[in-house]
Amino acid sequence: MSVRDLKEDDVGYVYSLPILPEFLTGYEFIRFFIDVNENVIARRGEDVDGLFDMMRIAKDDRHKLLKHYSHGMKNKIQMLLFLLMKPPVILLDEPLTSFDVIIALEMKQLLREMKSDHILIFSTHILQLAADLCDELVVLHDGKLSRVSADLLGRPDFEQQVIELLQSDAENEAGAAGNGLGQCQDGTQKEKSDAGSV
Amino acid sequence: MLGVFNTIARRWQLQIATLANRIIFYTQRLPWLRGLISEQAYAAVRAKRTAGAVAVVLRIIAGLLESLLYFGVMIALPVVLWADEREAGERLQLFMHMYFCISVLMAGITSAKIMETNEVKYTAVRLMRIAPTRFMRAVLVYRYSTFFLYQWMALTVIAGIFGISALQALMLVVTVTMWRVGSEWLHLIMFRRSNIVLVKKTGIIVLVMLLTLAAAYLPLTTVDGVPLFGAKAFDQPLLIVLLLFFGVFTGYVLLKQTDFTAEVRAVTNHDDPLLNMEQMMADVQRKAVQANESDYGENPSPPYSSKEAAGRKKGYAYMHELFIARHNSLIRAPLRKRFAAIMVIGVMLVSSALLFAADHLDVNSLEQFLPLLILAMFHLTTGMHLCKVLFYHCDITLMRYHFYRKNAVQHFRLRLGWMLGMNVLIGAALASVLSVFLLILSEGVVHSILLPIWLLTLTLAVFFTVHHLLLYYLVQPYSTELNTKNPLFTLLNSLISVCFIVAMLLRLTPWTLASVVTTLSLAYLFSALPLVSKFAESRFSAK
Repeated sequence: MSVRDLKEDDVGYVYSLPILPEFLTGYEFIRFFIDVNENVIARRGEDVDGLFDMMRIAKDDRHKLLKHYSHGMKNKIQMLLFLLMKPPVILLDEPLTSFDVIIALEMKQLLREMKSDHILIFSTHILQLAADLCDELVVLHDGKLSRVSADLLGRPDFEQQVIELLQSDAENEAGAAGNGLGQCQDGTQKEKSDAGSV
Repeated sequence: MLGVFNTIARRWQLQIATLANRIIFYTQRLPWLRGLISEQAYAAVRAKRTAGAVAVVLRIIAGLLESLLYFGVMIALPVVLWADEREAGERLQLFMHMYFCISVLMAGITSAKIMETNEVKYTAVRLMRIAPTRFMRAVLVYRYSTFFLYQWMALTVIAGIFGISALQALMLVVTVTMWRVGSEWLHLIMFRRSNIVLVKKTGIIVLVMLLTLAAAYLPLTTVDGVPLFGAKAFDQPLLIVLLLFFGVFTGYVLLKQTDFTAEVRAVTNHDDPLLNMEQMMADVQRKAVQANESDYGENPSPPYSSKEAAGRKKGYAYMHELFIARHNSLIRAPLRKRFAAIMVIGVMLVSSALLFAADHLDVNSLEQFLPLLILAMFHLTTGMHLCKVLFYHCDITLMRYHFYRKNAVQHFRLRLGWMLGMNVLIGAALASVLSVFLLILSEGVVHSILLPIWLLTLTLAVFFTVHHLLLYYLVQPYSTELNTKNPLFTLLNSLISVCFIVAMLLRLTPWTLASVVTTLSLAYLFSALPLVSKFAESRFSAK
């Protein structure tokens, strides 16, 4: 396997709030996207309806304007772009935020499928999602990144372990700084995980 | 009093720091300077303070320049250009008359610092809890001492052209300053007696402005019957003395005896939309580019099957076509307004040609007004509005995608062609209207000025189309609220006004002016594509 530096086009970024041109329908936007990225997408864009089927977007919805799409449907369209472009690395910001139960399950399934040929790096507050999908876990706490042992991921008490880890950090800092506890409780607690391999 | 000045100085520092941050932000995006200014520049507080000191000096220079521009461009330039054949005495009278109409009548009625609503006043009085009276006294002292100094210096420079001595200039400016102080008091009294804030009555203000400006500028034209009452007023020693006493008396009352609390509270209501200018402007801007829902309905999405897809447009052309179809009303409305404006101009010109042709209007004398076409086309072409529509309804989302920025040349080319089509049509309409007017004046003879007029309007249509679209792609001035916060964009756009003034001053012949504009337009047109392909990828983005 050859090694090379990452280029801008190698990384795709999935916004937590999808940003799509609202005057186009989902179908038109995907067509346009395939047209202008023809050289990268190649034959993957030949069957547009097949792509929508794969994303479980109903036939009627494909020809609705994007401005009338729900948040979940917009996110599916956004994910579809990455399935077409196949960038080696995909960054996702809170990928299941504000989805209803069904779409959240569908998206989770989709992410699991994408793991096989992409590096997915995502941020989440949902420990269960991290436990279900991730191969590696990094905790961002109080502005510092720390790696969590991969062995922890499969264990039934994974969530409890991570919470204890964060709390013990907070207590240590409170002891050392005297007033650190409030800061830790207010501080953002994010987990970053790296799932899958190229 | 000292404390109030300190507060104003601090407020000033805050404004300067905001401006410095904005300049750092946009300078970092300039191709040649990008590497020189790092993110650390924002933290350079000491440098910002130094910049603040420089800004104070620059602000003084700007104040002086503003007064110079006022006397130079608004009063002296029109007299020099359009009344240069009249006697020196008459030109002096014209100058005095215009100064009286604008500075005494118009400004006296339309501006009053005490009753003005602004953000600084709100922050100082409502948020920083400065006593309204202390704050207003400081504002009045600062305003009218600088007003006097700037106007005096500027008038001393300009007055020489009309034979006004330094002492006369001093007397004139003292009188006007005193009158303005007095008018502040009159506005205050009006509010106390009838609860009316005159400067907020937009209808009255616009009417007063139109009337006073007409009274100021009409004597420059060949229209008879407008007396030079302004010059006569300044010639009355009794009136001057009265104004001086009035100013001194009201100044004393305002600075020593007046409690401004009620007035300041009345104009610093939290709900006043004028206080939140940015939000108000953003709402107005958004409304101006609001899409018509029916456009979406009238242009339903064709469900392309693979067979139908064979004949359809592809890629950016496909998207562009859908964009135009679904924003039809938004695109057509300004076009219709412009054609209506051209029609009105046409009717006015043709009627004036029919009414005054024999006595007053001569085709040859119209040559000097030809540079006005630059201003006319700047306002008539639809570039800026269309760029906002494109930004708000299409690019604001797509410019987040790398492929879209990388392929900027492709959509730029499509849009350039589309906008050129519309603006050339507008140019042709204006040229046609002017041709009819000139043909009536010259009694059917094709005058030599006609061809340069056509060339000028059409090339100006090209120039402004390229100008607006190119700036949009290279500087991308709009924020997500549709505000224009990019100082570079403002600077580049104001160059147009400078070019207009230069063209006026140079008094080029019609053919020379047309040739210069044609050359510039072609150079602009041909440099546009290389510039977009080089810079748009990094510059065409949402702020």
